[in-house]
Amino acid sequence: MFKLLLKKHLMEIGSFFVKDRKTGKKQSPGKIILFVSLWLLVAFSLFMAGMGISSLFGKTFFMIGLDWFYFIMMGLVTMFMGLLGSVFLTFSMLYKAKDNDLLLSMPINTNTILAVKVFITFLLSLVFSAIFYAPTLIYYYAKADQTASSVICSLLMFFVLGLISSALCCVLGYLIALISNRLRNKTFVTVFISLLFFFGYYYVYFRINKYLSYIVANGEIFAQNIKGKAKLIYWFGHAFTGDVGCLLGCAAAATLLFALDYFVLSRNYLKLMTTNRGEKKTEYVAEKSVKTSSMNAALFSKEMRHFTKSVAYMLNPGLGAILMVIGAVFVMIKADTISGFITSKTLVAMLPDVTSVVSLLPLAAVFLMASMVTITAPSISLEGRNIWILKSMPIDPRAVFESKKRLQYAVGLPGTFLLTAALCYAFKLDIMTSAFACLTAVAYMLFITSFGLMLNLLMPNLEWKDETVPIKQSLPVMIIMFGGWAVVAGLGALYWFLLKEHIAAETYIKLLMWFFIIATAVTNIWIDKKGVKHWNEL
Amino acid sequence: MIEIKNLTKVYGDKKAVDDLSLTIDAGEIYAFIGHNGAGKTTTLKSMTGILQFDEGEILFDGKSIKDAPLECKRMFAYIPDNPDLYDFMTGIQYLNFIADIFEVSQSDRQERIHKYASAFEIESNLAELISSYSHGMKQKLAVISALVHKPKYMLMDEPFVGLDPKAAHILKEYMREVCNEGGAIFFSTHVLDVAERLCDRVAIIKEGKLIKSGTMEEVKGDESLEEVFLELVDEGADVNV
Repeated sequence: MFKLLLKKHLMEIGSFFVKDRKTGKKQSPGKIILFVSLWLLVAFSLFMAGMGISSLFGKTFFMIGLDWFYFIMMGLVTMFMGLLGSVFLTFSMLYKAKDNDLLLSMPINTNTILAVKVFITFLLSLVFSAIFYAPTLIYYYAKADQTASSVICSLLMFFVLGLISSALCCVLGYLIALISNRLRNKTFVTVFISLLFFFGYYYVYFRINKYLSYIVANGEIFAQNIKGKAKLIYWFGHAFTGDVGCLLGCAAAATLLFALDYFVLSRNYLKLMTTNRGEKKTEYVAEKSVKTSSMNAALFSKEMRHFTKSVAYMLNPGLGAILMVIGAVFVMIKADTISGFITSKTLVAMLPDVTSVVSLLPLAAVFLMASMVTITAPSISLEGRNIWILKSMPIDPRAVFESKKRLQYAVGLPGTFLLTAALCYAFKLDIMTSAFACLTAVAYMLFITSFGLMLNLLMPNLEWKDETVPIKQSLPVMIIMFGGWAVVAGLGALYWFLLKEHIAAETYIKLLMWFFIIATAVTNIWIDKKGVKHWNEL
Repeated sequence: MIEIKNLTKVYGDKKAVDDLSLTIDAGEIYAFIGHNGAGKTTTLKSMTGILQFDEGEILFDGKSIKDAPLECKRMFAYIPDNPDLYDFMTGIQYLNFIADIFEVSQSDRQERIHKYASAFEIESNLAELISSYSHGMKQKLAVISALVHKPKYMLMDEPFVGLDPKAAHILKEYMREVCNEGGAIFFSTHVLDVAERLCDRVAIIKEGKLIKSGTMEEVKGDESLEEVFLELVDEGADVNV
């Protein structure tokens, strides 16, 4: 039974590369090759990053005989990779698997189900850990002095690292399952965590070299401290470098941790799989819940509810709006630095004409960010199978369109205005130019709102199964985002190469404002006339 | 009165509904039966303005769904065959949304939501997200949302699918209530026993064409509706009563 279930799970993992996740149909060979190549590319990039870190640490630590400290650092990185790579897979496979009910209904021992799933977790941890541990060993074998025992121990420690990673994965996966069951505002928490991860990632990415250099520079001090004050970690490092006693100790500790984890899980697994703690049921109070509002307010609040209840909707079409608000705060904090950079002699020496276009730069930055606010572009498609509700009720289609536009205004305009104002302040633009820059940025947001809606009316897709399809993969969204960036480049080039000698940047801003106001008006006329016809034909 | 005059709807080169004419009078419960793919859902969707049709006319109290869609839509409620509702709303948010569109006053909606939600036994679930509802609960919510604005006409596509026996019984009572107040019900169904017992008139459609319609007695005579239906569908009769 163990082998049968193991085969089933491995086939499921394999199908990730060959089957379409939405339709379940086999992908074409071209798509499979492309998909596998992309994954290999990601793995290769991580492998090369691992090589870089290994060589950075190895170069210094091997010279001063701190091989064990090299392994502590690389071991921690490896475990972190194993954990990061497999924790969410563990969560979905162990605690939220779609096949849990089916497996439980069959004459299979619960412990067998658990054993297979935990074993798969262990295998996954090994795979993800290998991406970083392979370069660790390659560099060690190539550059350090080894003995037979250090070679064997360093190889065996790979499995110890896998055991520790998978044991931690099971615990973390359980915590994620527990939290996700009890969360009330899952969407906001998920969006918050995603943004935190996003910014955390870039924060670390831009500082990783600094941190690594710090560790290298102070490695000897750290090593001394560990040797004196943290014997367990010290022995952990020595387990890689050939100390058989330390290896056995680490292996025993990891096995004990893994066994303890398995024991606790096996005692509670059936309960974990079958008990849906769920959210606390919200009590219905008629007096508080039954409220009246106008039709337009009801349509707008429907759109807003959809937006705030969908992580995909908030994080993709709404990301630009969030980034603009955060950007505005950042610009205000760093206003002096930005101002200093713009007026710096180095920049002026490099680009003598930069002062003549400086007032256009805030707008260019805002246009780039605002183009990422693509809320209306998938909004018609997002009605999907629910479109019968709006179409069978006495609602003028124009009111539906207006509600969709108002959502983008509500989400996108504050950030657009704030970021433009902050950049104008940082660039030390005069009040009139700043005011026109703000108006132009707002006009641009109005235009892409209407234009996105128009594109979606022309190219709707109501047949999706997963709402990320219209949100992330539809042509209207691509056109607004990438087209918006192309427009920024085009307008910039137009001014730089053709108009700079003839009109001032401030005049160009006013021209752009009128251009986007007129373009918005024309698009809105189309929506009111032709758009209604397209809606009726949906 | 609802009048369907020479309705034709074409998909590509296939006529889904072919020159269909029907009249549903005030006070009538009218069943619309036919095999799968006969054109029932297309007819209902054309009546509600969800689908545009190629030829013919559909009138609600003399007003055309093509020329005066909003006025017509204020008169009826539609329940589709599959209750696809807004999963991101709670039950009460959805009912409020529907009531807002139909401008139902605070006191009326409070009274009606309580009346229907307690009758269908989902009042205590109204504060939960629709995504957590079962198929039956969604169907009940769709029915309540249809009743909450007190429509004159109800157009329903397989309304009993997914409802438990008690809910189905309550729905039948409310259907009669709508008719007693001068409204009318037009619904498609595969449950011929229900149609036979509940309806005043019946229409049978095959491959988009009306093959028989009339009062229950006129259509079935001494036989059961099931027997008549099977005979007509198998023979491909083209009789209009």
